[in-house]
Amino acid sequence: MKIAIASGKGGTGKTTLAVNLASYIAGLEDVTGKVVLVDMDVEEPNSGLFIKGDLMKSEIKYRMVPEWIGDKCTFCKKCAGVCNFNALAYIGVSVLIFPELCHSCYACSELCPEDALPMKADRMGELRHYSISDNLHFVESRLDIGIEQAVPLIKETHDFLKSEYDESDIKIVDSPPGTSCPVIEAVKDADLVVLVTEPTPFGLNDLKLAVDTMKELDKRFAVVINRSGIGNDEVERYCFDNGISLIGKIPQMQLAAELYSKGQLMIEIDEIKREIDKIWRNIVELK
Amino acid sequence: MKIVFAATGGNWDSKVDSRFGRAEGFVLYDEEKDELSWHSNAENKAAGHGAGVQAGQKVVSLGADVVVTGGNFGPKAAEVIQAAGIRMIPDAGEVTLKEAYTKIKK
Ligand code: SF4
Ligand code: SF4
Repeated sequence: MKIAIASGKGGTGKTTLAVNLASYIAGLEDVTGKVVLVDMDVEEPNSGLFIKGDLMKSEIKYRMVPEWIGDKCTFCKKCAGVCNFNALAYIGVSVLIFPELCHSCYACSELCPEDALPMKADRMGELRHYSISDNLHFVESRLDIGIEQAVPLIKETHDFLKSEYDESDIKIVDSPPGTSCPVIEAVKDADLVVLVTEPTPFGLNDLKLAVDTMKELDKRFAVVINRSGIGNDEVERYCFDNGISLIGKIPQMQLAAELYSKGQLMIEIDEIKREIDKIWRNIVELK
Repeated sequence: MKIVFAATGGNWDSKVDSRFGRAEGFVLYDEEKDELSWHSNAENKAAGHGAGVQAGQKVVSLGADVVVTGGNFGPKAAEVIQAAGIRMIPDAGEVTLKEAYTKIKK
């Protein structure tokens, strides 16, 4: 089972929910198999701040980027304008490649009649695999500084999950924030997407964008309100009016904020633990 | 000498554009022929990423010896232009092409 936790923007409590949910499920007796928390917010992975464990494996991840071989180039100019991502510039005296813009589509490489643009492996980031407890694992992918393409690394992370875990293992994916390509890639094969929002006008606005994206992707999704108690009830009304499942409300609590700032889990608080339990039961029913 | 200006319009009284990658367009002045020509940059203005790379490539393909912009070029455009051996004049300010040209010639 794969559950993606996402939100229309950052800072809504997406990571908090992912970490606490994964830890909670792993402690349940009726859950057999493994629980794995996966941080796919590759530009800024921060789930690791809240859970500590033993590093089992670390893998450097590469993507393919063309390299211009000047000696082979006949300056036929065919590659000028072929790149849809503006990652290649033909300038008469040479061909420049901008790896940070390259989407590894191979178009230029396949087009070049002289084989002067072969694809080569370029480091993009690192994947780390931790064991937190017997049945709780943690996978974290982090892009190198200066690398702008998140999608290839997210893809690699999905592949890693496939090779390491069974269908029946529970994967909780902390997705990147927003509604762009990286999120779409992160939620790709999720059985359910949980959208986290705050009960404020801004929260509602971002939630609507996220809901639109999920509808476009034809994804099954549900909503969790974080910091419930602040703001107003517009998010709740919006969910009700649009027939969207609201599967939990994590209360705003001083104590929770303190635990958070110390990098501790909120399920230490009974009231929050009960809500996380409810969210989990709802997920099982919906997915 | 061929001079390219990042510009908001196609004649001597048009302003130099303070942007480069997302400039309205480019004006090429061919001194030998004493000819001005306008080259729209509409496709790059709308580009999500890499506008600088494409704008740089465009200026190169126009055969410029010197390129002028009102502000700065941006790192990627600068890399392209520099690799092609073209002289860059940034920070021309909010002046007309005529004024900018007179200044270069001094
Ligand atoms: S297509 Fe190949 S040979 Fe032709 S200009 Fe580009 S790199 Fe050189
Ligand atoms: S591989 Fe594709 S994206 Fe990368 S430089 Fe070549 S054409 Fe552009």
